[in-house]
Amino acid sequence: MQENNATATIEQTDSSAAKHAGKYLSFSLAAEEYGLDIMKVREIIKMMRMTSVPGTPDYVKGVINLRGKVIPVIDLRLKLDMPEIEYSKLTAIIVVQVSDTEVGLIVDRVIEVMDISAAQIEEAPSFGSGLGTDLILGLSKANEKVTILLDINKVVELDELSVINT
Amino acid sequence: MDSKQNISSIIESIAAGVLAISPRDIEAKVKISVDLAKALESLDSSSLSAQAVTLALQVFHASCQGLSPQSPELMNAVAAALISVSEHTANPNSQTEKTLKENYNNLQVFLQTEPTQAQQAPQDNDRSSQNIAIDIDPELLQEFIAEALDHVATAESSLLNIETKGDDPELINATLRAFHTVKGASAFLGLKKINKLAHSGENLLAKARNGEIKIIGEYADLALQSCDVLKKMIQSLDDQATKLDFADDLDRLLANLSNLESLNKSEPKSAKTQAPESDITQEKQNQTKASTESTVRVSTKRLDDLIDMVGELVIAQSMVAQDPSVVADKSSNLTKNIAHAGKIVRELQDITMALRLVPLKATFAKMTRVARDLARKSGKTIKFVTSGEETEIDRNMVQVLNDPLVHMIRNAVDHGIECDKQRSQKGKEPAAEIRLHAYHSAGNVIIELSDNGRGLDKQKILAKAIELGLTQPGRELTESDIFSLIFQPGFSTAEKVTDISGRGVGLDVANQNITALHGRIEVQSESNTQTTFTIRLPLTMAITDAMLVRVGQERYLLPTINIDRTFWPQPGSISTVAGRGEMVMYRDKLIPILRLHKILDLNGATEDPHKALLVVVKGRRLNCALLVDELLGHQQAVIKSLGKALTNVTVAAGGAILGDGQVGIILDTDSLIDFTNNHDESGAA
Repeated sequence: MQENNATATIEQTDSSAAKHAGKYLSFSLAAEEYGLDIMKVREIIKMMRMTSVPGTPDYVKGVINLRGKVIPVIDLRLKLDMPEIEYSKLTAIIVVQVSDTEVGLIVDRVIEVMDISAAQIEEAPSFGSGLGTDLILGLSKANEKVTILLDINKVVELDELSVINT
Repeated sequence: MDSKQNISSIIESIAAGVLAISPRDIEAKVKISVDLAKALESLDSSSLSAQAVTLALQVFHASCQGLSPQSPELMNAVAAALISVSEHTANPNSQTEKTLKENYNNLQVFLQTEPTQAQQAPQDNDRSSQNIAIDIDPELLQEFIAEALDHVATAESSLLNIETKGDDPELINATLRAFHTVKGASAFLGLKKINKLAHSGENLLAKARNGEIKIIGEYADLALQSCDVLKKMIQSLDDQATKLDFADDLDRLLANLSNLESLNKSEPKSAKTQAPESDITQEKQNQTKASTESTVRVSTKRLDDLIDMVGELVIAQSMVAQDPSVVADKSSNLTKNIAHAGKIVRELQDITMALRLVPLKATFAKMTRVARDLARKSGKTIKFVTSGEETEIDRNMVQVLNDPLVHMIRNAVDHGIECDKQRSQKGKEPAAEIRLHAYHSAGNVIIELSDNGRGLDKQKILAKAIELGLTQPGRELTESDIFSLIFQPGFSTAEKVTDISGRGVGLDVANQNITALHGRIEVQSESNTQTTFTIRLPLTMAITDAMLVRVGQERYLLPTINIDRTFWPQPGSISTVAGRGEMVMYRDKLIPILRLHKILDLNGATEDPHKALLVVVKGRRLNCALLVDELLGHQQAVIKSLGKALTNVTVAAGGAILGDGQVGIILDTDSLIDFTNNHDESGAA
């Protein structure tokens, strides 16, 4: 019975899941694990001093100098409504490419690069973990753990970044 | 003659290329085609040499499109023909002519007997080409677009010169050459319409050269319109560019041009005058060729990348130089070497920065045209004088500069200059003068536009400003305060009615554009004598001279161009208005104090203004004093965009990398002032 259910789910999500299969960079935020499409990731850098920019929302922590380029950095915890923590040695900035521009994402810790097949992806459940399900591409069950696959284009809405937060 | 030797050797090297070519090397074929087309320009179009080169060009044109199976025999024939062209050009005697004829006939026979589709190709092309032959190599097309636009611009500026300076044969030839080159190149690419118009334009100019007509009035209009339409057509070839509608213009223009031709057809061309002049033409062309050979077109993206990396190098170098172990170690060679490297790096930075600069010449040429057209339209006699067009400015700024200048010239022509009658009544010279002048001063580019018209009417401006609520009656304003009112947004629209002195239309736009370029615009005027607009721009958008200030724990950059003065407030010079607005006495005037730490929401800044520093900044509408903790220094900041994501952050004009590698935010003073004004209003409500 269980197996039947599982195949049914796979068939249902086949169309969307197949699209999302591929390599993901996984990282942790609080107790959860998240994944980002590796094709969007430009590089991973250590935490560095940021310059805050006036007139930006809280989760935009500022801008950094990435080899001469100025790029904004977002604290992903704040963006996903999680409590802020002090940055540690493990804290990393993942630089991603979002529609022609680069944005840095602060995460607790980078874990690994995972190969996720279509069969391992399930559609996002509607309850979610406090974040809108529209930000989630799906859930991966690969490596016997749950990884939340994020739709980076929706997480980083470029227009939002410069709206003054009052 | 040197030029002939030159052409000869060029053609010879092409021939060598032909022999060495491999059948699949399309790039080499395209290069040869381009070289051939260029060589063709410098040959007398009726000569046998030119015909031979044309034939060779046809072969390669077909071959580039993969139409002809290129046999080694054919290539040999082409090369042989080219070599004899080269020899004949170098030593024009009967011997070389004979060889040339033989080889030319040989090649022709070759093409006829062996039905390579070489000769069919152009016809095929003609049929398919409405506008663009579809199968043109895109790179070739891009090159054509860039070059043809240059030529049209040359033609335009020469035409304008002809109009003012009279029929200088040099200028007419320059124009003729430009049209001729466009004609030749467009024919090669199968661009029939462009070819046709360029040809008609060339005919018109040829008449002028032969003394049949003079390039003034109607003829000048016609020639200039040809330039305009050509420009449009060429621009619309570019896929990225928006398609411009030129069909109507083209038809009308061609009709006008052909009318002209039938009128003058009966007159024979004088062969005598043509001969020596074509020599000049050739020589000139070689000169221009020599100068173009030393330039390279590079995409701006690559240039920006280079500048970015050099900027990084400067920072990295200064980090090494300031490293404690280096600073401590004064004895060794290391310090000396690092200082030497630093010198090189700075020089490198200067050189890369200069790469972005272009002379204002093209802009000034455009403005000359604008002024000419406006003057003709308004029926006023206006002399437009430009000087300093060699002044260099950042290429990105050149484009933005066009609009403001056009607005200002329009203003000068429409409102500043009186009509001829009024001028003579006032005892002025009937021909008015508008002067456009550019020069460098203290790291800035200054552009002045002055006219000797009626000048600004202070009383009327003041009355209008009071009517619009921009100022209150009875308030004491200096002359420059009054004049600066004409840049106020809203002032212009009301002025469109042009009942009063008129000035103001579009000046708000001009002001905004200039401000966006981190520049300033000012106006001086003397009644009935002159009005001068002065635009002051930084040399480049990429670098700004800035003051580094500290507010709390943060550092910010303030562009020096906006800063009037910094000072420590005297005790008692600060007063509050209505319990909230703080004002300080500065040059006998009260100006508002903006607490930067409040606006930017920072902690740990000095609260007591008497212990802090005031930076007086000039805003669009009013001057303000910014309260900062201290001045940290002064630096040439390479302005970087904060990225697409943060474009709406108005208070930040951009970022710059500071000496320690961190990003510093460059503050936009106008937005700061606007921001606080809005905030105050909402706070009071």
